Amino acid sequence: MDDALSNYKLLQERSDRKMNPFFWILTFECMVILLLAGTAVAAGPVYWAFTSRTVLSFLSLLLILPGLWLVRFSFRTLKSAVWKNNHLSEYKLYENEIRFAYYEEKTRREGSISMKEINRVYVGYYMAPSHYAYEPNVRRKKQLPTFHLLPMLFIRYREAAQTRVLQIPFHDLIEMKRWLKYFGKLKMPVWATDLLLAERTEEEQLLAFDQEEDARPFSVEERGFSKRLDSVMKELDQKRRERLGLDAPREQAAAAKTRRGTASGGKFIAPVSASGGLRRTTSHRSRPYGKQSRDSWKLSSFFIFGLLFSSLPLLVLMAIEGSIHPENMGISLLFLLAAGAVYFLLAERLRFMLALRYCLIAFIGWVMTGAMMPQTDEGVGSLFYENAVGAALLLPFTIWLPFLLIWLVRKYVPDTDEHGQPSNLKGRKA
Amino acid sequence: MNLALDMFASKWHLITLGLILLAFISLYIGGYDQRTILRSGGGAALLLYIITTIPIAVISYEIHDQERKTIAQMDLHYYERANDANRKGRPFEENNKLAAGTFAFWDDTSADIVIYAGNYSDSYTFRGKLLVTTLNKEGRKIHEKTYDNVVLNPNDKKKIDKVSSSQELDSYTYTFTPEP
Repeated sequence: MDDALSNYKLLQERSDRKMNPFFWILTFECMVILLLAGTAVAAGPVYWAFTSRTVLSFLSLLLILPGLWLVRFSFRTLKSAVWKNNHLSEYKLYENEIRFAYYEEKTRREGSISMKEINRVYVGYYMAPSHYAYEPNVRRKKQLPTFHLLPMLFIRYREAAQTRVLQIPFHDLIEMKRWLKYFGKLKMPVWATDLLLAERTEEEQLLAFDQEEDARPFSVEERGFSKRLDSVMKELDQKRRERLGLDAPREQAAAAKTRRGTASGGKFIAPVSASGGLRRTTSHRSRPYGKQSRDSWKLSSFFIFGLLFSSLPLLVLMAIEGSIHPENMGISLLFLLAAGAVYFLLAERLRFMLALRYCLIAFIGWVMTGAMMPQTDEGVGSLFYENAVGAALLLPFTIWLPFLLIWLVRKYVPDTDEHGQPSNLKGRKA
Repeated sequence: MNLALDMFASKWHLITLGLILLAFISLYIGGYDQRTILRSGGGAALLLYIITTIPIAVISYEIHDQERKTIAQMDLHYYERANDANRKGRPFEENNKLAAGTFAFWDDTSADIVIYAGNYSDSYTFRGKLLVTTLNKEGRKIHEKTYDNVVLNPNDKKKIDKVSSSQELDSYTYTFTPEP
């Protein structure tokens, strides 16, 4: 986009942000460390098997696959993060046109739209995952939202006898308001929609706009911009509910919500519209699904970890009584991996971070449970506890076995609904 | 060993250096401008240094403390022995100016027994085996081990081993056997 070529004044400029340096360094370092760890997990067993030639060393060759997966995962994440940070979209508002340069997949699309070509502007929202990492200042909050709902403009325009859509994402309402004010000055028709159309194809977007059911005119001149936008969104949502017959007495609605939650399998579902609890800050968590599944996750996790940690005293006592050999590390490892498998199975999304989280919580809880037992202070109990801690220390290397197993199960075994029928919705409820 | 150097610029700080370099490389690869690279890289360097120095400093201090106490115990033991020999009119020969020291560092229920060996001669170099036996109050062995290929240069004091035990250390015996 060459500014020098334009005789018209540049009014507004909006470009993608690079990741906040703090989060960028954190991501980069974590991925590099993971890459090295993956290489060690993949190559270490080969070296060990060649040098020691013991049964255990040959068994450790099973770790090659998880190691390679780890290498692939970290390398791809790193590559994609570097690419994204170096390919930023730009949108410029001139007096007579909008110039843009954005990336569709990996292809750069550049162009301009004359103001005369624009036939309607839609105000909407889009989901920005991990937006906190792109904010100029690092938020010191305990929990960072998974995604934010941020404002977006959909510019519907004519190009070579074709109707097209250009979507301009913004970081906040104020930024977008400046663009809208100019459109208002030009008496351009501005509409608001509560549909989340950013991830849809251009054809789908046009189809949604043509139907005009989920949009309505919005005045940018009047005062109370964000409040009015909120109420328009709520109104649109209400109308859609009425149209689809979703409005029901509170008890029925609650029951419907529960059924919906179960059928969804607890998997994170992106909201189809931005309304329903929109706030002026436009910072949102997924609701009601997100909240519901999050609470359920906590409950199941407490249950799993509770059972896991309470199994250690039992094992220690069995070792003291002579039922288990005090140097039997395998049984502790088996318990830790089995609990890990259940944890992964019940998780709403099988993410890589989940495995790391499990390792950390399991290790801390496992060690602390044992440390609190007087039986582990000396003798056989102490010896067994040392081996149990050893098993917990091996978790970062061994957890990938149940992780891979559950990943395969979740990928290839179809889910069933409450009637035992296969469901086409992936994921499981925690 | 210099305590301050070990606490704030030890070999473990090479990890910190690696992480700091990685932070700068990440910012460069991420396409940040020079000012951001310098400012955020500098901030990351400071943060990484603080984060890694805290555990390194604590561990280094602990190791130094163990070394200081064990060597002090060994010195005391050696000079008592040497003074005793002098009083009896049988001063040590150069190849007998050797001593071992043990010290138990308790942590609630178990102890780390640190074993040191020292050569108090100005000219003799010891090469050989060292047998160390630690005993509890009842005179029972807690731990016994022969360390092969021990080399102690003149005025050299070095750490030989660290063993863990839940029994209270009462006394110890040692035997230096030079290589023939």
